[in-house]
Amino acid sequence: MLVIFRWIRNQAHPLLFVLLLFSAVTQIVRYHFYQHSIYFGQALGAHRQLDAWKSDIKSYFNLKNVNQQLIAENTLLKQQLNWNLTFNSPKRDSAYRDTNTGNFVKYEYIQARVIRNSVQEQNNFIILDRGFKDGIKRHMSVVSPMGIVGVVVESAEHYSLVMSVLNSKFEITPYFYDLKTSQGVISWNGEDPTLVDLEEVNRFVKVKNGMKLFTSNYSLLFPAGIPIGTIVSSNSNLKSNFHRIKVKLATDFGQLDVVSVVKNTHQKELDVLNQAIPSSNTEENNDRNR
Amino acid sequence: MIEIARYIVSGLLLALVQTFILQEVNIAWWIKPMPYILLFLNLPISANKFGVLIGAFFFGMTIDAFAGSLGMHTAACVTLVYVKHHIDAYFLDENSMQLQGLSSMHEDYKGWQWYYTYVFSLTFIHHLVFFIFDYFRWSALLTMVWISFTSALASVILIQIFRALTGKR
Repeated sequence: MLVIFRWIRNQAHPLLFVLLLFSAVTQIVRYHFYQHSIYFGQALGAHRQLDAWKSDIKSYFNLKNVNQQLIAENTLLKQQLNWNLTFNSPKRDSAYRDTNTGNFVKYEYIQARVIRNSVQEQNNFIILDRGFKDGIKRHMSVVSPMGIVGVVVESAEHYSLVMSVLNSKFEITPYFYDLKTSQGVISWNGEDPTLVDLEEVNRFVKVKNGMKLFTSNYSLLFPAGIPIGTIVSSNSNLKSNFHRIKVKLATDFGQLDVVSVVKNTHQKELDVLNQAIPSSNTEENNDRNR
Repeated sequence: MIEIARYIVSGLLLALVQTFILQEVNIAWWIKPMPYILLFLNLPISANKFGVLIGAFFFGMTIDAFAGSLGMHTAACVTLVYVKHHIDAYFLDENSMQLQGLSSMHEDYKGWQWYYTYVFSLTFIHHLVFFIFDYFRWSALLTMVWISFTSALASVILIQIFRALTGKR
């Protein structure tokens, strides 16, 4: 403190000069229109720059909120489109379009957050923060912006349990977009959480690496055209009639955060029809029809 | 006391001359003499530096109030006396000046070259500060320097005329 006082006393003359000059300059920029406009033009420029930085920083912290809003908006848009899209679905392909329903909404999307997720176990499950109070029921499919996620197997009041694709009991028949055909069964072997096996694909189907697989329109649970993954390797030998194909999943299960639960508005009709199938085991049919 | 009163009166006179004559007479756009700084040049170098600084501030404000250029003359005057204090401390020897019977810079002190350099430098600094605030943009920098230079020349001539008229030693 003493040092500061001593410094002020020693520097009193320059300080007084600066003070008086500052006061004069203040008068200039305050009372002269021209100088005022120039000064405040510059000052406002600097101020706007500061504002821009501030808003950048603020928007960074707002990202979570913005994400929420975008998710809500996306859900709304999906419902309006009546067209099951994720960002890597094939576009403008009428093969996936539900021609019968027209503008009628066949699928509704319920937005949910993943609150528990595992990829390491043999049978992985996901828990969502939405339950039957939000309209989630058994056998609804779950998709993420990246691709398929799984199927709801149980729903509590506020939470629901989802059987992940990374589950040995999960099976789905893919649609080969390049071949316009649906064949085989995708299942997880419990090893690499980014790869699944595709089996029961006929040896004479010309499978190539890099082919994209989507959910087929035979699926009673998933809307058609949701990405499943990309073929990364395939081999066939003469002993077997089938390819052995490895598929890289479109969904990165480690990154899973926000998902949409797909509600088929005609599920009851489908259930009734399913019951009418003369089969001893409807449960198995359900599984097959995924 | 009489000295101070004389400074105040001569300051007022110079302010009046500045605002009512020189301000109104438009010689050329690049000549705007401000010979009122004669007041500061005449100040004894032993004067209290704080008093001079505050006095310059209020004198500048007086001229600004008359001329309608609030703050510009004030800033120029304050800068002038501040710079002058340091130049005096560096270049002028108070003792030898007292021996010569001088209280401020004069031709007799070290010759007219020294005198005119001193007067012109201080005038130029004052005018430069004034015109910097007058133009107030970097793109006019050359104009500022040029107009300061020509106006300082005119001011120095007027200052010499005033000194001759008052017969001040």
